[in-house]
Amino acid sequence: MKSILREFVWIGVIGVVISLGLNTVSPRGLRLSEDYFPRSSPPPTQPAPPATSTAPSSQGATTLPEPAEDEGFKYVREQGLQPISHAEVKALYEDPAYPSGAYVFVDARTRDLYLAGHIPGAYHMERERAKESVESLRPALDQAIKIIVYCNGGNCEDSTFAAIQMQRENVNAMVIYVYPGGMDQWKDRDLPVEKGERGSGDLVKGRTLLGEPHG
Amino acid sequence: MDNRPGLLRRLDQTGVPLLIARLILGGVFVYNGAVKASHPFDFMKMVREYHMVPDHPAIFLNLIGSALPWLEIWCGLLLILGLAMRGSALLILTMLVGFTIAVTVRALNIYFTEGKAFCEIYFDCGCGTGIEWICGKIPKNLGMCILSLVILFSRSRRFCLDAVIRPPGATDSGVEVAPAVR
Repeated sequence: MKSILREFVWIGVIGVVISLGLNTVSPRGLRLSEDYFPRSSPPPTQPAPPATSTAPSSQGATTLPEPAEDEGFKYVREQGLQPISHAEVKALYEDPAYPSGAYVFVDARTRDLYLAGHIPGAYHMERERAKESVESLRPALDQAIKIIVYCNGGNCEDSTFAAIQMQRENVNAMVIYVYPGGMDQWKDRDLPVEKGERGSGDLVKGRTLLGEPHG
Repeated sequence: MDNRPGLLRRLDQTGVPLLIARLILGGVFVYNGAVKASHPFDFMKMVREYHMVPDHPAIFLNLIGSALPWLEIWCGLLLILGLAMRGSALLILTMLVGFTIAVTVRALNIYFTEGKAFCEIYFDCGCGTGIEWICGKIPKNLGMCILSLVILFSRSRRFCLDAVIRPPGATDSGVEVAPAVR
């Protein structure tokens, strides 16, 4: 029995050493000191003003938050971030200034989900490589009047984490908004979804993708 | 007096049960570990869903996310090769017990908070196998625990690289395959 325990210990120790070594050389490896699930610091004391007050008007768009958004809005505010309603996100997407880069959409989901379908024109942010990802998006982020970050919607937290990571990389916090409805709500409203890389032009109706797996 | 070994011992001496247990368990751990190691960030997010490890300090979750998948591959490879099998089996058994407790606690939490029937509960457990029904996952894990015990208590060293590297007589247990049953 003693010999098995001895073997158990040395296999464990060697295994951990090898594991950490392989993680270091792996291109997808994690950084041990990185905070991948950041919280706002200091904790928010005042809820941010609702984004609807500054929304550009759009035809047929309602400015009232929908009941399903209440929980998501509350959560985003608790993180010290600004939520944005579906109506406003849609208005920004349809605004003539969108293609010029005045409004930037950032998809904080996994790359596989992004490629499976994202809001047309949205950039992808790799949360596990936040610093590099933000740097590569910096030109677009710096000229944006509004940055809308989203993930799947519902209970997903990637959009709030991504927004905080952006703030930590010195992106102007005043222009960052989190869309709590996320991709689920976007697809549910049957809005266009772009498949593949940004600008692929491969657009499909959102509802055709409903029910696809989540990350 | 009949000194012949019992049926189970004779079966063990063939080395076949050990070989099957090693290949199944080793294969499962190498495969699942590889899935996790190819997407360690996603794996870490799954681990976080269990609320058993704090987000901060970040080092705890990061260590699990970066080391556990490779550790599974390491143990699985040792089993397949037949090297240091008993230590590896004990390590795998320890992991399996931890995983089983974690998924059961999470399922019970869903059971009590959402009021679902236990066997209707399913989620992506972060095991490398995607979404799993809890009533299928727990028996699967228990089955793998039994395979670990088979390896742990087997006295055979047949079909193992260990027997080549450390010839009979040099082992801690000193047990080698018995001659064929007369």
